[in-house]
Amino acid sequence: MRKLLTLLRSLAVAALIGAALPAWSGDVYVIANLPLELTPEEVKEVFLGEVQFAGALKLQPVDNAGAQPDFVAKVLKMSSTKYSASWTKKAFRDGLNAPPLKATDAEVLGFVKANPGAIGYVSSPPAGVHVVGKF
Amino acid sequence: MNPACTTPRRLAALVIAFGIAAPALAQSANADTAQLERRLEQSVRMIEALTTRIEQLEKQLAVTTTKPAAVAAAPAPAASAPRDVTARLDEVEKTVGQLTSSSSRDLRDSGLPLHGFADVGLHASHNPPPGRRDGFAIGSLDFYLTPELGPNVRTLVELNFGVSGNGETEADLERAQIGYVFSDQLTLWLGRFHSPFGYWNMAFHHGAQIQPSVGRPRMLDFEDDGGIMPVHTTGVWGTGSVRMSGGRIVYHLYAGNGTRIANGALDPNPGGDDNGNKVVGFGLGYRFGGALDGLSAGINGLRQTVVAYDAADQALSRTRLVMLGAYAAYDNDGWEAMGEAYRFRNADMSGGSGTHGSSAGYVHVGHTVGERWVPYYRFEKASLDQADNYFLAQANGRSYTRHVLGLRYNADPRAAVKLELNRTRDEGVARALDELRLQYAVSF
Repeated sequence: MRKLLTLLRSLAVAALIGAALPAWSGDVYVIANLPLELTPEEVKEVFLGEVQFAGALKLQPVDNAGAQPDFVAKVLKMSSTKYSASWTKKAFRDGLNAPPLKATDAEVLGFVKANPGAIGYVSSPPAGVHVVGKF
Repeated sequence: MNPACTTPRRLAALVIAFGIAAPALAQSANADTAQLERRLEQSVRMIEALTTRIEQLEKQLAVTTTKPAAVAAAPAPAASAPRDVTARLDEVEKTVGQLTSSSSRDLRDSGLPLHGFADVGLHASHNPPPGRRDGFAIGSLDFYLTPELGPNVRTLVELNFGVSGNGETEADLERAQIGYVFSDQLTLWLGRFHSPFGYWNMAFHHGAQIQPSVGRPRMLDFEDDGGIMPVHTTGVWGTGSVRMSGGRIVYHLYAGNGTRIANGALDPNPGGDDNGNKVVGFGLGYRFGGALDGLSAGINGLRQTVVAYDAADQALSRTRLVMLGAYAAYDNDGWEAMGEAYRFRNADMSGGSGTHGSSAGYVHVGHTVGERWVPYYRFEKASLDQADNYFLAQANGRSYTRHVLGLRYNADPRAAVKLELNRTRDEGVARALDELRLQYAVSF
């Protein structure tokens, strides 16, 4: 009986921590160099190439390979495949280029900090940039 | 690289290893349960200690990141941030900064943005017109470049290669347009562009892989393939969009070289106009958002005077072409549905036959089944007045109906195989033309 309880306790601890890990890694923080006030719909338009300017400032969206699945699902509300396909069409129709794709949160943070119009997203709470929203 | 990132990974690895190891220990018949419990408690304490350590490191990292000047000017007390930890954090931040700034690595693009489409296929027909060849064939190879030369300057150059019926390679400068973006509300393009009318002509054009079917609606065929509408324009084009509460209004205004008709086909005069008659046109559309995301609709129109020439380049007729159109399209939730309708009111400027009315349109519906398969159907119909010199002078300016039934398989997000059957009834031709077409198209 004692062994069974120990087993259950071990499994419970492992399961609780295992369940917590995906939630911990699933948050997306949309960040910008400047304090932009954008609704989720406007963030979507920026990343789909519908909006390129905030006043006179040219916006520079940047993708994050590590956080892209969560971002496109939560903010753009589409699949990564559809997101990619939408940019194939956008480039052909309007001559626009898809946002540059960075590999990590650190690279995105570096890009956003270095470019006034930059807007990106990371998977952990960032420092030194403006958080447009958490999703 | 970043302690705040790597430490949680170590913690996760520890936890997973622990999760695997703990049940194994418990399953051992000879295991000392008391010892196991002690180990478990030790592990939990270790997790708690690591968590506390992570929080400390994150706080230190935040301080050094947000206030580097303050840190440099007044080093933190030794008790809260030991000198060696601060130095290591500085080193890590410096390394990350160097990696980011020096590489500015872009996984998607390097150098000049070059994209393209290519397709190959098979074609077979029953009751083909004279001169039609069946069999395997190269479709087209379409390159387009989209260099951004600055925050406001955009360029779009598209070069298309195809193979003619007699096997010769043909190259066309499909688009060569240079634009200046004033704002989201106004981009001004100069050069040769796809005439901004309707839906299909703007959305797909030479992009065989993104086009829902093997072929275009016949009424929208390219000019050099016998199309009856001026799908290219060389001139100036202003376009932009304005956000509204439920979507976005899109507009187009353009003017350019007028079209002429030579050798039975439209010629958009890309190298210079044959006369002073310019084409002017407009388009006004609405792209819905929110619950209706994917739905768009609009109207468009153009007006120009078109001169038809004979083989000796002598003018045969002059027609004032007035074309009005409307479209609606829905591309979402697996649906790909669209329709366009055009109405012509063409006036005879060289004879006394008056004004002639004609119409053309199509409806196309496709739906994704099982992620990759898209069966589709399209109906096309054109009723073109044969007393109208504009249509009379064109080889394909006849009324027709066409049914298209096809199946598309998306082998990859960038590759599609399409099999299509169509039946075309051409006015004045006794028998219907039946075709089978297979196309394998990719984008890159």
